[in-house]
Amino acid sequence: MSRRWPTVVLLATVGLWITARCVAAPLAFVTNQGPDTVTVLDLATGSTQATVAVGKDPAGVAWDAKHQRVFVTNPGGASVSVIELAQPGQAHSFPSGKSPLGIAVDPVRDRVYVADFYDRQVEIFSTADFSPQGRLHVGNTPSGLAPSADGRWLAVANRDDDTVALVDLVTGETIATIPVGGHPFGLTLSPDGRTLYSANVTSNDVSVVDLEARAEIRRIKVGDAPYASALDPTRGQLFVTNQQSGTVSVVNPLTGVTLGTVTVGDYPEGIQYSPSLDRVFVASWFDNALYEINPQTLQLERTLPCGDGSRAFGVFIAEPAARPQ
Amino acid sequence: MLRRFALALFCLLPLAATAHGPSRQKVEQEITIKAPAAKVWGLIADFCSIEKWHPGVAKCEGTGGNAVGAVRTLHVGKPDGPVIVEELLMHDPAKMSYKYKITQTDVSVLPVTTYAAFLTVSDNGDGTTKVVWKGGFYRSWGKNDPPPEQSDAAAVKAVTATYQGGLANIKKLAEQ
Repeated sequence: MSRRWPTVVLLATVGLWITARCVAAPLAFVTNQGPDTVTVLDLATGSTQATVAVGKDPAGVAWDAKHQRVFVTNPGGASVSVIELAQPGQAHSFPSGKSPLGIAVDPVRDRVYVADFYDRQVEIFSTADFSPQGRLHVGNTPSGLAPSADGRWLAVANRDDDTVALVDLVTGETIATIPVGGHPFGLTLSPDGRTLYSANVTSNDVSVVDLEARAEIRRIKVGDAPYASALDPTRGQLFVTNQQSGTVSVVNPLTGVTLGTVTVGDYPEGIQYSPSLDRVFVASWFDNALYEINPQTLQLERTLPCGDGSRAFGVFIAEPAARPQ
Repeated sequence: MLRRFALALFCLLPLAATAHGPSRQKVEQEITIKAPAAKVWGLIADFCSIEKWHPGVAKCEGTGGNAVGAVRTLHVGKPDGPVIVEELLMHDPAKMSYKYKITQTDVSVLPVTTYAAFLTVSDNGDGTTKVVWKGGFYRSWGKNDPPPEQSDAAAVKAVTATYQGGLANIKKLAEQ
């Protein structure tokens, strides 16, 4: 008994310390396909907080701010892993369809959506107790997911159909199927919810979709095999990862003008803008790291080592909760 | 009874879920050669020179030389063997590096898709040279439950053997 006390106290202290850190600084949860882990990085200091064992070939990731937990898809293990922020050193898992990939948390309901890549469906699970809540029937090879802020619909990239579908989250019906470029993959919504951007892997461009007109209004040329995008809303810049070029294209989505190209590691995949740090973070699958880009200078800043095959496809940054004024 | 059955089914789920979803695979192999970098690069710089240095390639038919967009058609094993077609994406003599992709494969010899690779020579500065061959690709089977010969493991094995066989022979030729 007496020997156990120090451990208990230590764990409690670590728990409190981590909780305190999370309020102060954003954390990144980077999926590492090779070792089946997630690297938890403190983005302010660049230090690794934990390396968490999850299911096989982890790829997609979604931060659930309400429950302070992270969901990770494991395409090789047909499961979804959950990391609780209060216990970031470990994960638990629940079974999913055979090929879970894209994942997104419903901004309104206690639900998480999981794209089942080979089975034309998006599975729904409870974010409270992880129980299955049904499925949405979608097109071929659903990839990136983006729910509207009001929870009315979910945008789904049907990769092999070259379309983006809008699925009504109340009825489960597809309300629009919008043709875009070749093999849309990652999806990004503008903060006002009016515009959607799809990175199109085979046509080497980004589709700009007007969600009121439910139509593609512009296509912007980027690098080779674009994967996903992130918006810096302050400057109105869209950052796009180009898998085969090993670069990030920076474009103005309103004009289609290219503002710059940043060389990062090979096969950049997941990308996200952190408003609290005013930096863009990019995972490189071949070079096993998270790259930091300054959106003002468009220069590469830090390179933070992660595990083999870093992917981070989805909302992988947990921002600190808004502080009371 | 029904409940017990449901419970049993639930317990079986993780066991049944042995399928593999879509994940890109990577292979990176390197070799150190006791020869100057310029000599090593000279052996492999031409896109279609692979028929001279790769023991698995019996014949190469090339068009476009070393310009981006050049195409090489490889015959594996024998001059009328299985065909692999590759396209040059980047060729940089100053960096002693090129990048290419596969546009057509024969799954019996290379069960991959969406394949691209770099072959890069670098001077170690001590009279030796390093050659790195690295590629990213998906298995050829684009659905759940691949047959063993088109699984992720089969794709990685085939690419690894291709790289190791090629690099070993580059070393042998360069050190002669």
